[in-house]
Amino acid sequence: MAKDMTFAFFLGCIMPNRYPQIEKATKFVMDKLGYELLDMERAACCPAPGVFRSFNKVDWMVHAARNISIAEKMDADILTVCNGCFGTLQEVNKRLKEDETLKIKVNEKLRQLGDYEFKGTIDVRHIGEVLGYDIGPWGIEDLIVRKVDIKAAVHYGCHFLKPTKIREIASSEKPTLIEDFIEAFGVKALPFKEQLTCCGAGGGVKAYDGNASMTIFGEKMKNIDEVKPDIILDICPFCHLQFETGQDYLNKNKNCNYDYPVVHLSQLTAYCLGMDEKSIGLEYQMMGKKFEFGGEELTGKEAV
Amino acid sequence: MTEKVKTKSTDIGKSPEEEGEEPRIGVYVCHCGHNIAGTVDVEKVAEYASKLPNVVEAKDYMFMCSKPGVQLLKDAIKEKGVNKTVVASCSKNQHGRTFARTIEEMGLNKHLHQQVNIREFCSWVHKKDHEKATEKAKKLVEAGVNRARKLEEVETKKIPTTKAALVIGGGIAGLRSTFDMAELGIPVYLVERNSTIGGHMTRLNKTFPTNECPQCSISPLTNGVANHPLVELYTNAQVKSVDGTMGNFEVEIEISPRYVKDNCTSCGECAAACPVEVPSEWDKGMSTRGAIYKAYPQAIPATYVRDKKTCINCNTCINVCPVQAVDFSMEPETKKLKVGSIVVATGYEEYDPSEIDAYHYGQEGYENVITQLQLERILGPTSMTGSEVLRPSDGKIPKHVVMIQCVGSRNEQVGNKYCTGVCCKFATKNSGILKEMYPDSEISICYIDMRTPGLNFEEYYKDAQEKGVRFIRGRPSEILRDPISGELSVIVEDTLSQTPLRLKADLVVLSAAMIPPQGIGPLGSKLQILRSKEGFFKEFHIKMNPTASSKGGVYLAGTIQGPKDISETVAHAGNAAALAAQPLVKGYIEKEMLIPTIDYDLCMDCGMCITACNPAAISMNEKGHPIVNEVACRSCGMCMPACPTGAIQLLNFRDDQLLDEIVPISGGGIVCNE
Amino acid sequence: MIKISDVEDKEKEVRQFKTDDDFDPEFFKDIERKTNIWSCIQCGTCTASCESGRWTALKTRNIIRKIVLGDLEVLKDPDIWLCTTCYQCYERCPRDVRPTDAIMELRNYATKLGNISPNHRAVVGYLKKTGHAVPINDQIRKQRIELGLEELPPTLYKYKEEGDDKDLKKIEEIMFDLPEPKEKKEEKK
Repeated sequence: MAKDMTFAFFLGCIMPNRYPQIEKATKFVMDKLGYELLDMERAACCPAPGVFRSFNKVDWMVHAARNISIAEKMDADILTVCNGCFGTLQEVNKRLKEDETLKIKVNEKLRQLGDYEFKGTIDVRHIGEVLGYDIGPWGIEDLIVRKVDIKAAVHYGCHFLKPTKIREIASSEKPTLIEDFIEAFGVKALPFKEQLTCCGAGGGVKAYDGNASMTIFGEKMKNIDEVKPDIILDICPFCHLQFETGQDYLNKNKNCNYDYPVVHLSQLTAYCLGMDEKSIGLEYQMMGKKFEFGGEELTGKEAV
Repeated sequence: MTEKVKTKSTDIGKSPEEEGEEPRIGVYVCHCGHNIAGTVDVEKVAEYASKLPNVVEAKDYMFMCSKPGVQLLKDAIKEKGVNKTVVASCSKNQHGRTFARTIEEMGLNKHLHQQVNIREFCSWVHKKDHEKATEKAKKLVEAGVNRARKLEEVETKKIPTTKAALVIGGGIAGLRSTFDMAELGIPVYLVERNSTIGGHMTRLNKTFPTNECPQCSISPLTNGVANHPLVELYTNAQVKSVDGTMGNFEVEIEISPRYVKDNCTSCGECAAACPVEVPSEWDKGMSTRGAIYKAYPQAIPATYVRDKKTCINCNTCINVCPVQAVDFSMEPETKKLKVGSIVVATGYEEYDPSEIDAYHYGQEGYENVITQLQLERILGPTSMTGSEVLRPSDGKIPKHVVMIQCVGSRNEQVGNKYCTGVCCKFATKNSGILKEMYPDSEISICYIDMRTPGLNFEEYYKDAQEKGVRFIRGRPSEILRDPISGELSVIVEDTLSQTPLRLKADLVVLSAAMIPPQGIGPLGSKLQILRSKEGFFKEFHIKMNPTASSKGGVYLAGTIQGPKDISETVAHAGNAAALAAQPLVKGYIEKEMLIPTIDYDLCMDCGMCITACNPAAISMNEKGHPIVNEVACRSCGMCMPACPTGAIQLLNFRDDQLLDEIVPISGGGIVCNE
Repeated sequence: MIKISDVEDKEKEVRQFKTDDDFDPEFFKDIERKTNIWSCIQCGTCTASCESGRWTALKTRNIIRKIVLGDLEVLKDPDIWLCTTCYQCYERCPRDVRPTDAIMELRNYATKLGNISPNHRAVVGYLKKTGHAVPINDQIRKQRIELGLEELPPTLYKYKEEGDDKDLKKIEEIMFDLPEPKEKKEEKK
């Protein structure tokens, strides 16, 4: 059993290399919740499921197993804040645990990369389920420093919940765990048309055919724009990137005028748990630079 | 009280007891034309057999099943005193009985014949290697001779039956079985769980392919059953316990109180005055009823019934009833019934599509997603909407109706893998009716395959197409709801034209599967019958015996055995009635006492045999020792491998007898050395 | 039985019918969950669910049909790269075909044959050079410091900068081997 209240923090690529403010916010939040976050030294790309699994399934598993084995050496479950990394690490972890033959095959190649071996001793967790279920709106209540009054368009992304047979977190047709959680902060989740659709970036499509990716994304933005939220809330840095670059693209190429701030769940939670607005880092982002979270500071503990 | 049937004894033959214990075996190897002799050297086999111990005579012959063939057996018994026979030819199912009957004619017990199959088991499967096939045939025959040596007589008993039948379930299947048996002069007890008989058929608006009114079709039968002098009808009743075996069951039923006495005139004053309003189960929520109610106007019995759970005890109905029929003090009643056969006709239930997340059935905002049964209730003559199809959300007539097939059928994610086989027909029916009622509305059916086999049904499908019903070959992936306007749309690919579609849907009708009724498990346990993996009750043989259950004396009628339409149900129920009536009309059942014996010195009372016995023919007596019910036993022999000490042994299939048979084939030990 | 090279080089004759010679179902004999893919009844739930296909040329149902028939044209089909792996088809398929996984397998086959886009090749290059599909840049390095984080996250790239790149060298050597790019005419979409 992995160490309690400890996570091996898997960074991935987009978060540390494009949106480090999400990294900072996550560290802040987990610290406030009493978790120890360990650095995964020599970790690399998860590898991104959309691209690398498409090229070579076995190498994809070997590369993922390498990352998992780093956490296994620290005897800590992996925490990730990205749907893509979760998609790779959780699935590979589960498959190799269940399929002995596959595990042996993967370990054979893994050994050639260095002193790495997949043992199957840890679990892979996503911050969405840690906050949504482990902590829950009831568990976060005592730590809230600021409550806000904003409306959010919640974007689950695809790989957090699906395939439901493998993730086993919540229903993919009508999930409510994120909305229920952020309600504790005073955030109202706005229902909008077809809100569970993909952002269009995954599966290697963003790299393969940017236009197609933007076509898919454009439809989603139209539906979000219809309800005029204050922020777009996501739980994945790749979706985060898509929402940012996508709005920019649509403004430049399709005569749109979008400026919705794109906020990762870590950033929102960090703000409500007391982190300063500058560190939330909206000014570094492309959209919604001027957005202010606002809200009221709570004095002392909330009466129960 | 059982009568021993004397085997025909003549002066010609001598029974084995008279001969002393020594077996005198006759072996006959059949050529079966070229079937056997073309591969196996039958003469060599016969020669080999002749040298085996206790073999008095061994011959080969062209066609053993022919008249001169069986004459060989007769002659051997008469002239050579053969008291056990072995015929090496085709299978036991094919001609085993032929030879058994032959020796019975000669005064031998028919269980003293051993059939050896050297055709399906040898010549037909080893056509290429004659030498090895002959060697194998020799071994098989030697095995058969070894078996024959220790065969014992088995007696046949006549067991008198109780001339009465129990039918559980008062839908079309139960009614049909009841009537058919009553007309044969058999008293029938019909037990129905609901407050009225009629079942699902009376809840339909029209039946395919003639679009006639099911209430009109079934009315002569419901009245016929209710008024039949030999039928005792119990509604609001369930089976509490079942004891006994085929031919002689003792059943206890519990009748829940109606709280309305039999002098009820069915005037309806009580229901009109009742202040309670709850969704009607009979209408599947498409209308309301009071706490005191009659399920539907033609309900039989016509007596009203009170639902204690929703009643607020205001006593208005008691005061209002002109004949003082309402009586809150009525208590449940139990009754003990003695019957010879039981017919299970407990019907089906409509699958609940809430399980399929993508269709959002039953969720807030999706009130306009209904099932076909609910549509039938809306269309029915007594519906709350006056038979107009109105949207549950706003009471408007839908301009775009989309029906979705295979909801809960053919689905490996949720629901069931099987195809219900009836939904294509009833969707075609309802879509045709809707199109005629509302020619300006777009009526569409989304399907994977249109399955409308049988006479008149392809024409029925074509009719619906000609009326203008839009058939889209594609399975909808989801029902979308615009959160702002509340409008529904169905997303489907028209695979025939390869076009993804978003269909506007004012009303979505789900063709839900037929599934076994809720809570059927305990009844199955009480009857001790097997269920299929889908949860229906399992028939004895899917082809040859679809109305017998796994237990003798208990028969299955209708959809409880598997989804079917009304025509198939009626035929099925008729056959169940015929089988159920057989032992009752004959007055007895004849049973061969091929049953196990228990050596109580070896028995540990562990009860493993009881667990292994499918027809539940073994039970513990008061002293804690297992005893065999010779009437219920099906002679399957499963008790034997279950027994850890070998205490229980099936007559003529004992361990030592089987071992004798195996040894020549395996080459000396229990484990095959080849 | 046709070879994949025949498919690539063959000139399209005008013919009325395809014959058994045009298909090679054996080619996919090792595809994962083959029997489930074979049980596809072409109901179209996948295409209806496809969030890419509603706006692009991807028709999931057709792709699965081609696998079952053994139509190797599918390995040249650019549409198989338009799947965003949203898994909606996987969730809803009544025969549990798992089309997303099947498409990924097709991409593996296509990659082995060299049908991989230049953009994707570049991503593999980034992984081998930096350990990341999306490498860091100067602007972000500065941003990290401003936020109070370490300039470089403790991934392989940091160790490479410090001179310790033995892991990356191994990855470059043995992982994600791609066939050489071919000289091909630009295919119009």
